[in-house]
Amino acid sequence: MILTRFSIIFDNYYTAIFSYIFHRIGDYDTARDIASETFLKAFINIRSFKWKNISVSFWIYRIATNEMRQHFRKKNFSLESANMLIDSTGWDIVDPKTTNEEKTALENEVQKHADYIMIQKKIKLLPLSHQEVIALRYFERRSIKEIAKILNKREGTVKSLLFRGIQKLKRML
Amino acid sequence: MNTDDLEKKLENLSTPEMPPMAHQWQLKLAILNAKKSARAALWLMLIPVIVLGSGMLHSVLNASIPPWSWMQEYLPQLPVWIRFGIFSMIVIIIPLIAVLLNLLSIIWLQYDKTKHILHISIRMRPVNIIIIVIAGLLALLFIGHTIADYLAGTG
Repeated sequence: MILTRFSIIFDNYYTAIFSYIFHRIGDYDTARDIASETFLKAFINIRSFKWKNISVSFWIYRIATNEMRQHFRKKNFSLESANMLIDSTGWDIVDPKTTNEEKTALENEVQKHADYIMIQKKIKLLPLSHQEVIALRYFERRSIKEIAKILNKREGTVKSLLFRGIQKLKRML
Repeated sequence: MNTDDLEKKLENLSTPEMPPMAHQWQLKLAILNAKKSARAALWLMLIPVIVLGSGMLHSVLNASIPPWSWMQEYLPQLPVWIRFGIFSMIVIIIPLIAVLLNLLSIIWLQYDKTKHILHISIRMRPVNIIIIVIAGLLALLFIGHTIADYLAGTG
C-alpha cells in the first residue's frame, strides 16, 4: 500500500521536482543529489503524512525547498538519507555511465536559454527567501496561493517577498 | 530596466525542459528495494531448509532432531490432505513466495503509454539472485517429486 502510494507520487512528481531544483541550483550533480534526498525523505515520512491542509504536490515541493535551504546554508550539505539507503541496500543511486550523457543533454538544453542563465545567476545572489518566491513564481509558474502553501507563509508575505525580490533583482540587472 | 519590464521579462521567461533521466529509474528502484525483501525472503527460505536439514540429519544420524521429530510425532495423527497441505506449504509454497519477493525487489516494470514501450529494469544483485535460484530449485524439486509420486501412484 505504502509502496504503491509512493510509487504514484514518485512517477507524478519526479520530473517536476528535479526541474524545480535544477532551475534554482543550475547544477546537474547537486540537483540530482537534492532530488534523491527529497524523495527519500518523502518515502521515510509518507506514513506520517496526512492530507490535512496541504496536498501531496505542495508537500513534496516543501521538502525540496527545505533541502535546498540546507544546501545553501550548509557548505557541507550531506546526503543523510541517501547514504543510509546506500549502506542498507548496497544500491548505488548514481550510475556513472548515464550520468555524463544526462549531464551533457541538460547542459545543451540550458544553453538554449540565455535569459534564464543570466537571471538565474542574479537570483542566486538574493536572500534565500526572495530566491524561493521568485523561482516558484517565474521558473515553476506557481500562483501566489500555491507558493504560500509550499512555503507555509501567508499570501501577503509571499507578495511582499516577491515585490522586494524583484526590486533587488532590478537593481542588479 | 523598470519593474514592469522586468516582471514582463520574468513572466515570459523560457526555462530549460528536463530531458528523460535514468536517475529517476535508479532512484525509484533503490528506494523500493529498501524494503529489505531479500532479508524477509531469506527467513522464508530458512523454514524449508531447517525442516529438510533436520530430516536429513535424522536419516544419517538416526537422531531425534526437531522440527523433523515433531513432524514425525504429530503429522501421522492428521488426515492425509492436511499432511499434504503442510508439506506443500513448507517445501513448495514458502520457497515460491521467497522467489516472488526477490523477483519483485530486483525487477521494475513500467509501460510508456506514449511510445508503447514496456521498460524492464533488472537489478543484478547477487543476494537476491542466489535466493531466487536456491528457493526456485527447492520448489521445483518438490513439485517434480509430487508429480512423480502422483504418476507412480496412479500409473
